[in-house]
Amino acid sequence: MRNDQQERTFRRDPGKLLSSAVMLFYFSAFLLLWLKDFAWQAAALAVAVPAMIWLGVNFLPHLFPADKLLLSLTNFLCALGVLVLYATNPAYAYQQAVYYGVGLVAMVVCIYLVRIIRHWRIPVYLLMPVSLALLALPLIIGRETNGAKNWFYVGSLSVQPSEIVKLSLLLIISHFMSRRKFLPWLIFAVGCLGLLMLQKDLGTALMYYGVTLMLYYASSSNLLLTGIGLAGGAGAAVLGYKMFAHVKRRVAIWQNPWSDYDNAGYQLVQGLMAIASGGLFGVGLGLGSPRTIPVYHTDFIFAVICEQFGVIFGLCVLLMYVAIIWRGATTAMAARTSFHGLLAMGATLMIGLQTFVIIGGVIKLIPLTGVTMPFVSYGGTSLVSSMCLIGLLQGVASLNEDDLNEDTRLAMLGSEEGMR
Amino acid sequence: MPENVYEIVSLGMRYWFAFLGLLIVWRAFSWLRKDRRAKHRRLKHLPDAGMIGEMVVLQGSDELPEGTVIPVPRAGVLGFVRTCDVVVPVDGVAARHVDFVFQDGKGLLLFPLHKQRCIVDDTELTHRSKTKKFPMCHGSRLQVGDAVLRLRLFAGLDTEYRPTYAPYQPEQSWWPEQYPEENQPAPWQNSPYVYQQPANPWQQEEQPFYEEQPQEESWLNPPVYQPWQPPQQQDVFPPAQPRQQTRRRRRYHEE
Repeated sequence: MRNDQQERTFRRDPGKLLSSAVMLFYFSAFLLLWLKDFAWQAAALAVAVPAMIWLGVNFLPHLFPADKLLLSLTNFLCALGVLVLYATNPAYAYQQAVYYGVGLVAMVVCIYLVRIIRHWRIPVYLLMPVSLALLALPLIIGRETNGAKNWFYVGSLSVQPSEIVKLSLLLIISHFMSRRKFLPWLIFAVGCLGLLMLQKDLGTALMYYGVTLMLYYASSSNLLLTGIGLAGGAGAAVLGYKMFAHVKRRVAIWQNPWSDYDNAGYQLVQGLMAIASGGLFGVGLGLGSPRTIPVYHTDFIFAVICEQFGVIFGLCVLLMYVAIIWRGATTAMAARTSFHGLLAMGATLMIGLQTFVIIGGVIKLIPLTGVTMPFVSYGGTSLVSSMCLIGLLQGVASLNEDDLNEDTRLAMLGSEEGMR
Repeated sequence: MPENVYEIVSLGMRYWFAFLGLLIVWRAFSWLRKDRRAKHRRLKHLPDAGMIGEMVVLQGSDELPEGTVIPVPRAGVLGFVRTCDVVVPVDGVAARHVDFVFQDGKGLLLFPLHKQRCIVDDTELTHRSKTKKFPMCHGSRLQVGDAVLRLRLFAGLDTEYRPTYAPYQPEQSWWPEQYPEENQPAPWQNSPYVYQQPANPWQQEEQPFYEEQPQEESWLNPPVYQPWQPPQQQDVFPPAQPRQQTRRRRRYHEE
């Protein structure tokens, strides 16, 4: 039997309705796809995905003080990737569902790492050479895909090391910036950017550069050096434009995709047409022709979402990213140590910048660069690293909650002492 | 299911998905708003949340009078602009003067920024000093520019034990075996004016039969000569240097 206070708390729990709506969404969506061809896989996913969401949102907070809102939104976006991939190409969806499970485990590991490790000096010094070596691997054993050489293959498994290294970049930069050491993080960031430029992975280089610069400004408030860094970045962008032919082509296509709509601009034109054909409410789940868009499952998955569910739903997805960024910024501001604050801010910036770069590219706001849409795009490394970013954020949020609870306890102890 | 039937069902369901998407977004933002309010409400009852102590102004300025208490967070910047975590609007303090961070087991570590200096318990620190050897503990004194601040840490914080600054006061010996002849005389005992014999604790004072009432001064009761006592040593700091009003200072006033 619950008492009145517990009853009110139970009724007012804002997570209940949200997680129920998320589970209902996926249950009905997979049920609809099951009606299409009565495939047992769709029925299994209609049960498994809501169950996974329920497990992620309601079970994890029993282990540590987790942020349920972040969990709900992250799970929604991950499951949205599985749903859209199932509607377009079920083979991708099964793999993505497996990566989703792996990502949940990786997220829990990251949360525990942030909670347990208090002194990051030795791990950070170990991470620096390992990360640089990992980033250099595609140059040695990688294969060139779409103009960039940023993948290497282990058997049938393809790995994108820049997705893994971005976690260590955040840890290293946050550690050294919080210790007011300028040189180590600068050397590491410049090394990473150099290797990414050699791989011609300009989208990821842009993210690394942007996050490093913004974190530097957040930690030091030094407008002059930040401005100099920004000017250096602009110079590097111009240099990249002059040096790389595929960058020139992408900028030209961004300016007018219709000039070469059946060749270089085909992808962007198909994406824009898919968004336009979706209208406000979409063409319906499982309908339309999303597979006409090249790389619909990674870079252009936002166009597929807009086509299937409509622009209103696409805006809802964007607002979910905004909510995650808002929550991340709040967590960073509430952190008690500068390391945790910078770590949370870096994770938030990384997710925000990646989302802006890819969605801006798809809707022709900025030139298209080859990065994935966090949580949604197909790709094991991308999904797991995005979940790890959320894990870092969750770890800081849970530490904040612990500190606040400790403050409350001390305040209550103090008031009791005062009463005596 | 036949394709045309599926198409109708799917077209109908898209409104349901749009509704659920809007519901999820609405709930997420209302959750954010509620959490923000709840946090404000909670922090209202915890004014010291996130703070490790406070700085008491011993010597300040018109804008920062003596006795003012400034809360100190776990990490931040001390300077005279309002964006700093600890704002000290006193002459000689730079816009961003010194970074600080509290380290468990050590104390409040200070990192003076480029070309800035500060004095912690009579030890001068610059951006080149090994500042981690001189953490501020409870009672430590910090001198930045013309301001002098004393740190008070909250109870329960783990810091390195270090004797904090206190003025020298000679101890009065009371043990009967130690007679003043055996001890070195205190500085004030070398005074040419008076030599005071410390009281012998074994000598029992006579109890007065009645308590003497203080009497007003008059020609019948002339004032009793009081021997000169040396003034008790106080915290003495270098005098404030007159400083020209720079552009930065004017900017602070404008803000």
